[in-house]
Amino acid sequence: MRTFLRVLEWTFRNDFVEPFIEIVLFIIIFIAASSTFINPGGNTQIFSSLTWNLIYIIVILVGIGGVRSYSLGLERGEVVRQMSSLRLTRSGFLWRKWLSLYLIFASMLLITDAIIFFEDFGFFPNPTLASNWGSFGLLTWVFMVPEQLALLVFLNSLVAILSLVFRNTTVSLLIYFVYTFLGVSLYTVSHLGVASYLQLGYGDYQIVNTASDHYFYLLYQPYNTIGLRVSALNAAFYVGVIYRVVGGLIMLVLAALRFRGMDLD
Amino acid sequence: MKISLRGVSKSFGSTHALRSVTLEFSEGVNLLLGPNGSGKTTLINVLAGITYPDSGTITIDGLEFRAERRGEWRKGVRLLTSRMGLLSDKPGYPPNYSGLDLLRFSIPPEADPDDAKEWLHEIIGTLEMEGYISRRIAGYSSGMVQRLGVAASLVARPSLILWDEPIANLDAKSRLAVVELAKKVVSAGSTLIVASHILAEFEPVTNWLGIMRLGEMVVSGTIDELGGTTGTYLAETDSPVELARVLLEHGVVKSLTLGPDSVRFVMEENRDFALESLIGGSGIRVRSLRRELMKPSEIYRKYEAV
Repeated sequence: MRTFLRVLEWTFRNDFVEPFIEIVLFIIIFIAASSTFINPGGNTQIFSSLTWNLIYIIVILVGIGGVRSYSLGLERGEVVRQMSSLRLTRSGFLWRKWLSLYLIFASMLLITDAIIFFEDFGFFPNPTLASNWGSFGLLTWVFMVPEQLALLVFLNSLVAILSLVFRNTTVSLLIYFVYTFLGVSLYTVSHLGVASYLQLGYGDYQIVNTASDHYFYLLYQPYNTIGLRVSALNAAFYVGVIYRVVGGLIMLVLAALRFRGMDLD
Repeated sequence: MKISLRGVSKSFGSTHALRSVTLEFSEGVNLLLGPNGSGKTTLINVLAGITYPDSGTITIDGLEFRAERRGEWRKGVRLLTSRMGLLSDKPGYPPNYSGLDLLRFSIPPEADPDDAKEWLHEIIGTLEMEGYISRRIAGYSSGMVQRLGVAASLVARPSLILWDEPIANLDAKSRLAVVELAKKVVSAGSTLIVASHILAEFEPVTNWLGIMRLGEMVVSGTIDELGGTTGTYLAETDSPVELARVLLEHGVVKSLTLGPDSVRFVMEENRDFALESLIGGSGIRVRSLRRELMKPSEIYRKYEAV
């Protein structure tokens, strides 16, 4: 645990040059807040498009942080410095670094989510907005948080594998941006192909909205007007979740295997 | 700790960085010498687990690990890295840390805090880093950074220390301070492996020498094994003046230096055979007579010239 905290501290203080994180956090909150009217209780639909509003800055932040930690860290000898100073094995180092980056990104997103949550619910406790509690908006927020955490698993692992395979900061970042921006822009409302399931940005559409719709009706209106149960979650939901979580974990395993077998000089 | 390598090779594309290197390190200070590009850094990196060799074997305290099986090699290197202090050619210092932050970062969590603090201050004091150790590393000069690297490699009290060019950017005083620390850690039982193209400062403390050229280990071994003897003799006696007179009268020495209870002299060519009978016949009591061993620099010149 103590070695993990040291890697986390290194990542926070060195891989992100202070006050990079603070600036990015401000931008994230600004983007999130300005994407809707500051109108407490007025627009809970922001939760169903929050990831979409933030996706570019999430992608950019994870890309820069990851490439800085892995590719540039290898080029500058910082990876070896951390491993030798803390006497870590290669896999021991990789999971600590991955988790450090993950926790930093996740904390920033959770802070944003929390601020938007309280903004929308009138800064609890606000008795005039009591009806919002237990509403569709709340359910959407509940699904949006794990959806964003799953997105981070994918992006964090993607940047790890690219950085360790190409070992060149510029090339790794370029390929990462091409892949992720393409993933973001795959979304079109009318797109019916598999590609629409593999989008990165609009997980709040394929995952959050599908799940919150489904569970809202399951919880509050299990039978529709003609007495039939609500339909099951669709393929887009499962593909989206599996793509992010399982895909992310597979890439992490591949990154670990690559890291174990490579020369670090 | 006994470490030996057998047939270790490593190529980067068409460049053969190590060509079937075989050696056995000794305890104390082990010095790897060779010009730039001779493979010293690659060898240090192989020992540090940074680079995997293509082939060969490493033996650590009697346990053998083969490079052809990477998992096996990793296990072997893990035995070294778990007790190793490293100063590598790419030291990778975090610019936003202070030197003190980095040194504290390198202290093992399980270390006794009082002991660690005392040792930390001793290192900082010996290397005269007090004036800047609390400043951000980003503002350090190359010499400051070099001293920090040496300090960081020692702070965990490792039993194996690998240094790649530890004195390259240092002034004369700092070089001596580094050698002073080397003596200290070696006397505490650590094994030190130093790759350097600078010999002078480490010469007095070196007891093992490896000379590399173009990826090959030209020769390696302890100074006793490699050096052989020079043409210089050292005779310890209570009558140095009388002994010097005898040697000069018989015209067998080229040069001669008197000590308070010894005579150091260089024999004329092919006159060594007469020495013992000459001294024996003089009636002068000589406590010991021996040929001096070659210094590392002399050994280096001898083999580098081959």
